[in-house]
Amino acid sequence: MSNRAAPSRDELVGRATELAPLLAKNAIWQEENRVLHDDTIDALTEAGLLRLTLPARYGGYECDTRTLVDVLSEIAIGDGAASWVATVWNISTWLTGLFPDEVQDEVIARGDVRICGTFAPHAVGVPTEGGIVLNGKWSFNTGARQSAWDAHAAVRVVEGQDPEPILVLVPTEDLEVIDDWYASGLRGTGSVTTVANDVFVPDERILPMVPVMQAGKHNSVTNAKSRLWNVPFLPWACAVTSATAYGLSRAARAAFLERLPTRAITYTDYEHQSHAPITHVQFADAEARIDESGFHVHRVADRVDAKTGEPWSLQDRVSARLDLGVGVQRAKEAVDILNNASGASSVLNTVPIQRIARDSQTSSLHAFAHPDTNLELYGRVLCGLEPNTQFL
Amino acid sequence: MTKTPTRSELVGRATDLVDLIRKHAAWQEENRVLHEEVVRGLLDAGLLKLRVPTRYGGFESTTTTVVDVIAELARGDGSVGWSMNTWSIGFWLAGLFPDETQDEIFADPEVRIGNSVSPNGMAVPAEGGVILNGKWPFSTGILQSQWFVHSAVQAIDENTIVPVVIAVPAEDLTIVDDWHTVGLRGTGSVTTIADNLFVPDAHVVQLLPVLMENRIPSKLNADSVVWRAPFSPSAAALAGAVPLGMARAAREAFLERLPNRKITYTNYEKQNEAPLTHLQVADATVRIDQSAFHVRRAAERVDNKAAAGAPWTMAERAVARMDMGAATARAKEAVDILNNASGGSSIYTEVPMQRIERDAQTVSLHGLLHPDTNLELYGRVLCGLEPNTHLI
Repeated sequence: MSNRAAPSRDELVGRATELAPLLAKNAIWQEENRVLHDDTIDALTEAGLLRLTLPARYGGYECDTRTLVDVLSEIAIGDGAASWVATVWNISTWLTGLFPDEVQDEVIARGDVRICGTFAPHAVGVPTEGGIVLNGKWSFNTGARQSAWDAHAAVRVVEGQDPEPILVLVPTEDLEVIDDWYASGLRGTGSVTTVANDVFVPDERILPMVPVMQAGKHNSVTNAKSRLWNVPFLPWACAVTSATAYGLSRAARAAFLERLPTRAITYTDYEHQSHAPITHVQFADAEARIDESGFHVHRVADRVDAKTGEPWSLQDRVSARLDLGVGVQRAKEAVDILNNASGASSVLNTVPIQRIARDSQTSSLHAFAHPDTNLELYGRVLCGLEPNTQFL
Repeated sequence: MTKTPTRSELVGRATDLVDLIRKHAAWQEENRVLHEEVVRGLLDAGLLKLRVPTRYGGFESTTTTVVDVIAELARGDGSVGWSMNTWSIGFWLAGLFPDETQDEIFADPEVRIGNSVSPNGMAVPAEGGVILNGKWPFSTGILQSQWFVHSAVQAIDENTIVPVVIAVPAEDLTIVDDWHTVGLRGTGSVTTIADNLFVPDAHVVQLLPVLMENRIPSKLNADSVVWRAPFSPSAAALAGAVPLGMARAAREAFLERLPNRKITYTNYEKQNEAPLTHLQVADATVRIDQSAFHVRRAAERVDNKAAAGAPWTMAERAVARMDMGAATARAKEAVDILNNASGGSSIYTEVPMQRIERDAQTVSLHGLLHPDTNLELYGRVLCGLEPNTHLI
């Protein structure tokens, strides 16, 4: 059931479209300062684009997956970094929705809270009276400096037992921030490293992940009835995290098309790049790959929406990973073709396509999204082998 | 009045023919023509009725139906898929002609109608008709057809020629058996010659009003959704299904051999345990999925616009051509990947993979399907230039 109070998909995508000029304007500042501009955050907030996965009782929209990917990819037309931060915030808000309702009341409090998070279990929690003592270090903590709470993966270690994967909710102020975010792409995401030094986390803010991953069981009574929290986390995350790369390829298309009418091909007799058959093939080739990226992004999103409540087979799960990987791959190929066709004038920092190309390369190196990793995983299972990851 | 079978019924009948088709694939290669049992199978299954007007017992099937049937037949043997494609287009072209001409052509309930799109004939006006001279290579199906719709140009006056299509009885054409080829050998695509052939006016249709304005001489077909669709986008959707079906056949052939294969001169005792194989299988699979995406998109666009009576923009026509080219490109890439992964043992004539690869290469060199040509055409239109063909 969709949230009747929520704006329609078209309405939300339209709001993202309207933000593009502002996002594009702030992109250079964000690259320089390696964090989103306050105006960007205000605009995303006012447009409601950080409420996509917020529970309805806090004024959230509880959007379906198709809406999420369409909005997030649309944001990337303005700026890839803004899209990626919005992606992480919306995913972490969803994760927060798995916790007990009282914890949600505390963390979300008012609707405009920003929650960041990472999914690599790079911390250890040792049980103590009423909770755990947490120590660990998470790199790539997108948006950390602009978030009130962190949803982090960790393991709980009890002597004599296997480490137990858990998710913890921690106030950002309890964590140490190491500003190591000097990166070649997605610079505006502020994806710094955060460190937990003997941080106490009470039991209610600890969520065992095995029941969530394997059986879809979580600790929220209210959200258990919502369609949004009845999707399997990782296939859903496959769809949601593929949107930025797809949007970046559409951004590259727009950037290329904008410059095309005024470009020649230097040191050749072509006075208009648009007259060159090579350009026609390049542009069409990129366009076909953008459409194919969209096909994969929408296929996985639509599958998540269609299957809500139904079981997910191993084949379904690796197909979701495949769609993520290939959605990213085709998008990056399109960006590379258009970047390659943009001439030396495009290397200036003020020309968006060079940033789009760096952002696209960066997003395709993400371990969850990497095309080669996902192709190999899918191929293994197709060939009758077991998957070589639990992230399914 | 026969009841029109459903889409799944018709596609199921094509699937049921796959075994028979595969049994005869080698014979068809050797004899360079379809086996009579295969033609009989197509007739008895009603698959040569898909694009026949309902008043002659045909089904007037949607484009998506025809496309799915063609892909399925091409999965059995590319030559059968290609023949089905050209016959389907031949039926469609016959449906353009004046209704009395159609009464003559469709009098035979098992009529097969071939077609050519290259205007390799010249029609000169004569009393009550035209005198046709011409020579058409690649006359797929002529040996097993009763009628042929050839493309030609007609001299209107000393300075003007216009493109036309001309319906002629197959027996009026001279056949030159030059079909000795590397691929699609079973299609019997020999050369046909018209030598001072008189053709009555009612067997000649001017093409430009058909291509650009959807004005057709047939009164009874004018309101059918099948003939409301423009020629080039319809034909593009159909043709793209042939390489798609071949690619599916390659995947099937590969997976069938996989469990018994190792990788010779390496330490891999099982090919299915090699990560390289996993990448190859996955990469091929996604390209097949993308090929299907393009074919399906092209077919649905035709059906949806015809149902709505919506006009076609030049950009949409160009996308239809791109979809055909990209469907062909992705399918051929998939076949190449799988062929390349099939080892030295796959070059034996009895192993289907080598034939599928030759068929895929052959179909992708077709003047209308060639990926580069279609990308260039689409790119031209995207860049604001006029298309460089009227077959759009």
